[in-house]
Amino acid sequence: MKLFPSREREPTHFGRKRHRFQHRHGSVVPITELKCGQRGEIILIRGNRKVTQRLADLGLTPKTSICILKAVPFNGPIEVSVRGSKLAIGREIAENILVKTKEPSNDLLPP
Amino acid sequence: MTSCHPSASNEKKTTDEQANLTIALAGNANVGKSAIFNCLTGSHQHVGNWPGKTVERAEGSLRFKGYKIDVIDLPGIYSFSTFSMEELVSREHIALEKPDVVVNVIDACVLERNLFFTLQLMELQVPIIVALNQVDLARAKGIKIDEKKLSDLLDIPVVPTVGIKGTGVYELVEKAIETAKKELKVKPKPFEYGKEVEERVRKLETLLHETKLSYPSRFVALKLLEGDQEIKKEVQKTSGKIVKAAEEYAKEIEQIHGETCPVVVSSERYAIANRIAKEVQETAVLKKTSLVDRLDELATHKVFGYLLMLAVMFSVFYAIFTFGNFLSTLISNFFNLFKPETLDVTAKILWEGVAGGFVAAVTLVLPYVLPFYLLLTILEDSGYLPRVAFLLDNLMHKIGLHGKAIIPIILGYGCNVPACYSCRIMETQRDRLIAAFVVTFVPCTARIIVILGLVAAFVNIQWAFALFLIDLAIIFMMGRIAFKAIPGESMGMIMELPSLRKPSSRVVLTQTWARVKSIIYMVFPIYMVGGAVLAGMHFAGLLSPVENALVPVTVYWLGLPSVVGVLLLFGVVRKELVVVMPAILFGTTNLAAIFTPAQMIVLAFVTMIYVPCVATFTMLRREFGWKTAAYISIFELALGIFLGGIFFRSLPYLL
Repeated sequence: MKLFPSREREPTHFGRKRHRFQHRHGSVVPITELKCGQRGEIILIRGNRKVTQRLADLGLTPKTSICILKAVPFNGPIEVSVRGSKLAIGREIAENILVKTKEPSNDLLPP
Repeated sequence: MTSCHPSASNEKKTTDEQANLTIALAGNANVGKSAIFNCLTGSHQHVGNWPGKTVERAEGSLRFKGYKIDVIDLPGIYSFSTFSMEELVSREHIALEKPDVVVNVIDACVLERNLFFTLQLMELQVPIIVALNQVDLARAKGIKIDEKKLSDLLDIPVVPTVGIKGTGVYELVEKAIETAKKELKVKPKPFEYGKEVEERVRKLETLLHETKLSYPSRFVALKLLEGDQEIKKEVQKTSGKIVKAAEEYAKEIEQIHGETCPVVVSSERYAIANRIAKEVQETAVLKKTSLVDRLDELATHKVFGYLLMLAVMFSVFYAIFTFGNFLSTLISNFFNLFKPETLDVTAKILWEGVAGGFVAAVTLVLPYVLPFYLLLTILEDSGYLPRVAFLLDNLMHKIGLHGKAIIPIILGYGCNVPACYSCRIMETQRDRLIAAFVVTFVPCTARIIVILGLVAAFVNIQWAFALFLIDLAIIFMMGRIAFKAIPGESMGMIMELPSLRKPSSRVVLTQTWARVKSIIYMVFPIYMVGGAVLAGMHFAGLLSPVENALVPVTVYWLGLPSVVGVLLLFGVVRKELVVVMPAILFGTTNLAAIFTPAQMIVLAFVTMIYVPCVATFTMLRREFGWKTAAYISIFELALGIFLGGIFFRSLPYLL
């Protein structure tokens, strides 16, 4: 089992995964792909029992609205706001939180 | 203040025949349980604004209106699953030891998430009252909670409180007694889940009816659906059929909802919590962002956050050094006035040992320890430490840990003992061990005193800083080695960032005093006894055999005077003794007369690395067992001496 997949992790190029999943409205992306300040709705959380349970206990359940506040560069952790509290989540966990963007992000809108 | 310490005003009324009550404080991490606990019992349980600092339950008691009340402060948890030690400890305490009342402390700022836990407490079927804590902070954030309505909806008494100020605590105890005294213990009525889940819970409940378990059947039914291993094992003992049925039901729920069953149960619980919170809570949108919000923005900023962090760390060390140095000189000059001129041998032993130990303690320890703990407590209470953890997550990954591990490391600069203990905030045993191992390399106040007292005072401050930097490099390298060498699983960071707040002067002062007091009570006797023993040995001529035995290491390998052998032996007890003792042996605090600058640097370096002190060793043994503690100590002894010798040989090229 990989303990910290950070070293083997593929680089997350901007927009690379953005259009991979299509949902009814907007796209489903890992929360790490959102811009700071952007809001999304949790669709699915991947990971082992311990991680998903802990996240669910902290309020990250499907259909919950979640907002990304900060992201530390160079694959650092992200800060999110969910159900009125702020959480710091490591990148390797955050990449497995898939969200549907509430409004299509700006770069998808026609100018 | 008036409502705090209810015991004080009521102590006289107590009679011999007292009714005993037990109150357990339970709730999410970082909601102010420890603050309320301290307020109730008048004790100084560690309070800090970072989640997970209470890792084991604390107990205290108070007298109130003729009752002797035992209060138990349980560690903060978000749920009753059994993935962490704290969750299991809390759950077993509440279900098995059955306190008379559980006071569920909830944070008014994050009502919904706190109610998620309240709902689970209700499922445990114990008498509950709710302390709606930090109402002042919530109000400042524009959150208004109708506590009457909340009380009606939950069918549980709710008391608004401000734990750190003691507001509402009196009423809280009154309500707790009232609830505990009720003839017919009113058990909370749990809320119903969605139809698919509720149906199956009911079915399991009827199946569980005949089995005798220590938990209520509804709770067991839900935990079975959630796949809780501990509960499964327990039920399996009496009836394997029920476990099978539960697994069957869980599968059905999964098929209906398209999510795993634990997630479904959590979602539904959150849906209830959300409904209640919406009902009772009014949030006004604040127009201007407060100063605290702007600071928070800055504290985790990708550029300014790091600058702020460096500035904070640097100013803390700089303040401690300048202020400590100033105070130390002042006290030292003061004591020199009292030095007697002529003495016979016994008086000399007494004076130079006991008084010398005392003076050394006052002049060396207090000036540095006091400001350090003051600043550390301010940092802890403000909620800044989790922000540092957030910023340094990347760096900590390099040594196989995640950001949270920085908290024990920072605490380690105060004292390694509580720092090793706080490694329990790490999720897995492996992470705890790596963190604790790394922490033992962190120079605690004792070692900082050695570095400042030897190097900064007699060589120069640049070298003192250099030693701290070298130590950081060693911490990093050792962390990497441990990361590669220690097997086991690891988990990424999931951490709550508590609201930043202005540190409460009351909390900061009592905390600092509690910490300094423990140093005075513990350390001063050691210095004085140690000093007397050393002075006695000195006059009895017992020192030279010990010194001679260690000459190959001290003189030949490390290039230090032979007296260092004894110093390093005493240093195992308390590392400051390395600088305190020469003052006793040679009757002077001018260490420059004893060591050359290079020797001072080497001695400070060796003292920094070699073996954890006795207290740290004891803590390591308690947390990880004899073998691990011994391995760590032997490894560090070898490393300290090995690197010390190399350092000694390379110094001539550096100085």
